Amino acid sequence: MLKKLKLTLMASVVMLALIGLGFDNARGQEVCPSVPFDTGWIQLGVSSDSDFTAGLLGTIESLGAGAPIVGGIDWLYNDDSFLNTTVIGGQLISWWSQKDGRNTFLQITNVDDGTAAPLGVNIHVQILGEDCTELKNFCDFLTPNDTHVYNLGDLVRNTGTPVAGAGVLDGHEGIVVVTPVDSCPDGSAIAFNFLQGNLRMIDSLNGIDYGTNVYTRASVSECEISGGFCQSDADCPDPDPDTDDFCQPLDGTIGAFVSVIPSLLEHNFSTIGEVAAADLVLMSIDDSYGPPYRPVEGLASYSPGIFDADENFESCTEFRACFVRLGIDEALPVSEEFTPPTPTPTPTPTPTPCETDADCPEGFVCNVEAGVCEEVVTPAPTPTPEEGGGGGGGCAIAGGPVQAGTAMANILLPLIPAFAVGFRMLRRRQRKSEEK
Amino acid sequence: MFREFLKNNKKRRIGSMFKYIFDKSRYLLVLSLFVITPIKAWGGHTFVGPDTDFPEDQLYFYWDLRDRESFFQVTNDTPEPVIVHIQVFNVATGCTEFDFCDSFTGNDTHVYNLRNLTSNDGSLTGPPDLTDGFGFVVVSTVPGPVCPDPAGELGDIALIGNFRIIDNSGYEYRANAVGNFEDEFQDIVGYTFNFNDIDGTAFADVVGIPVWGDFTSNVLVDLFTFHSFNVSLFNLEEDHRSCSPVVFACDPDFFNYGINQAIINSRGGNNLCLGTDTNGYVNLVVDDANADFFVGFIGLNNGDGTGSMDAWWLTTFFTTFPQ
Repeated sequence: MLKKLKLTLMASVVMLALIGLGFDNARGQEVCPSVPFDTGWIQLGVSSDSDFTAGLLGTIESLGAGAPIVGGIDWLYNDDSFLNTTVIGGQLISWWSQKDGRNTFLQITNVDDGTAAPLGVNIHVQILGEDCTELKNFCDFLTPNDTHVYNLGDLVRNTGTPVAGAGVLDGHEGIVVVTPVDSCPDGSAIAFNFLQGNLRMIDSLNGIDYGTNVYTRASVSECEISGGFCQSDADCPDPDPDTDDFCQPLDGTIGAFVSVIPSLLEHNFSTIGEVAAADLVLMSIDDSYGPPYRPVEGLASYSPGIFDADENFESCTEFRACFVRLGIDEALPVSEEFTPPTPTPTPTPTPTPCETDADCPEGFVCNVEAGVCEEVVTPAPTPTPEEGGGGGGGCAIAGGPVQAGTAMANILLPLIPAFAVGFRMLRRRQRKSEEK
Repeated sequence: MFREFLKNNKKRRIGSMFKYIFDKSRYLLVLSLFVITPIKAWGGHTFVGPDTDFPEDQLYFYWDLRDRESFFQVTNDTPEPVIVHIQVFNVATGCTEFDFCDSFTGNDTHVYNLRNLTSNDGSLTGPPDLTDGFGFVVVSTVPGPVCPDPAGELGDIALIGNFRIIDNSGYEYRANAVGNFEDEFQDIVGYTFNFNDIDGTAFADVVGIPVWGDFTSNVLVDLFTFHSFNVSLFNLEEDHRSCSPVVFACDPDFFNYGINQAIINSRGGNNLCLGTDTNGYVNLVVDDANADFFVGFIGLNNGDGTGSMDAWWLTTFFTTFPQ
């Protein structure tokens, strides 16, 4: 009897945990179900101790039956940090998805010309799934001025070797983190703030490109010998020839990635077409410096609310997540529920019976054999070749717009130094007179 | 020590803040003008640059009506009302400016359609016909109640925003607006962006917007406002191509470029470089400037349904660590 009670209790606990997990992750739902706002802005209060929390908002729309489907994405605004998608940094973070016809491409670039790392840098690419556990990780190496496009549907390293077992990503999505390390896969994260990247997620079902810069986090550490702050080895000049100062690896105490801990995430949204859907992606990770460095599951609590264009406000249910993707509301459900309108088929007209052309409407003639009217099709005229003009071997300075632009540029570009000198002088004089 | 450094230097929205990168590599002479000073007390060194992640009191948007529709959305994410000065620059007509003022209540948002401009408060009458035009929009908060502000003062209210450019061939360029920090200006040395041939990408819109816009709600752009760059292109094999100097200005020939002969400009404009690399990245080093703020956008599309856009990356700027 006691044994049965224990088993029942355990089963109940498991059931409650599963229900709770489902609610907290809120997958396949909207942030604000039943709210009809198709234009407005969304604000999420955030409570988190995790080292990094951020999000993106993408929407897709049909411009009408038979018309194109368009879409776009960008990161949510936050109240904690800035320059995260416009300044090169020491760690790259992005959303990735291989679900529902989506294929993710991630282009990563090392913009260091060799000053900070003459031979290049090791990077550790760690790909977390929806539950924030690691699905795949691999090591790679970027030389100075190196760039590589990773296709998550066919992963190949920058060094040219395929990533084994990358098929595990199919049908999943989550968070991808790219970290410079002193050795891979078991090394420490290092301060190397010369990375940038961009995401292009091609949705083959809807024919759209969710493309945007990835998120960067800066890293700061201390020089081993001089003790000064550093963001790469280049910031630690050797005090004398017998020493070799360097920027210490990141351990979370001496050196670390700058945290991103917002209390607000927000963005506006609009609908200009007929049917729309959204992908509000939220992610939260913690830094486990080890070594080896690992991005691990974080957790954030979100308190959402949305405003429409008339400042009407709806407060929506709180939820918690490490990773989640949701629609916004009833007008912008999650993208899995996007159903573009289908064109109404044009009925085939019934042929008009006839015996002569006079029986047919204008633009039609009578096919006497078939006994029905047929439309007259006028062939397109053959274009007449142009005489002279900007093409060929002529010396015309202006032809089509490309040629005109090139011609103007050829005239004006050499004058840049003159303009520059002249106008800098003018501006200096202007500023001096203003200061007086 | 590091945590204390971070805590003391956590970014604040207004006021001095401190973080980032320090490029000593190739520009020692320029660097020596900015980087040297050791400071004993925490002097609050500041940095400014284009930002797309943080609410700001001035936002920049790209627009284009050449076989495209363009919209930009502005949101006042505070409960306080705000007055904004909106300047629409049309590069196609010689950088002509159309400006108007608008007002937002707290938590207010408005979508502007460049083909049919209406203001949020309904006061706008007689907007110009911008058909076949292209250029940029600057939205600046003003202290009020007079707009435009006679002294060009910026207000304290922050805004968020984004733009949507729908091309007739069926792709959308969407990106957050670029915000201008309200801090001491420092020279920025370089920018970079990636390019690739994903999904048949064959066209680009490399857009550059130089302005005299720092700390003013009356942005100025004239015939001689420009940024010039030394341009380098690297392909997947790190092969380096040095391209001709490029000027960005509010001029039809100097505003929007393609990348090279394989990824040409969407609208028939000039390209930054020669060559046919379809994957790589571009490095732009500021050679000269007659402007105090610059915004760059990079759009890639296949001319047939897929395309995307975002801001350029800053490669270097200046900071001073405490001693």
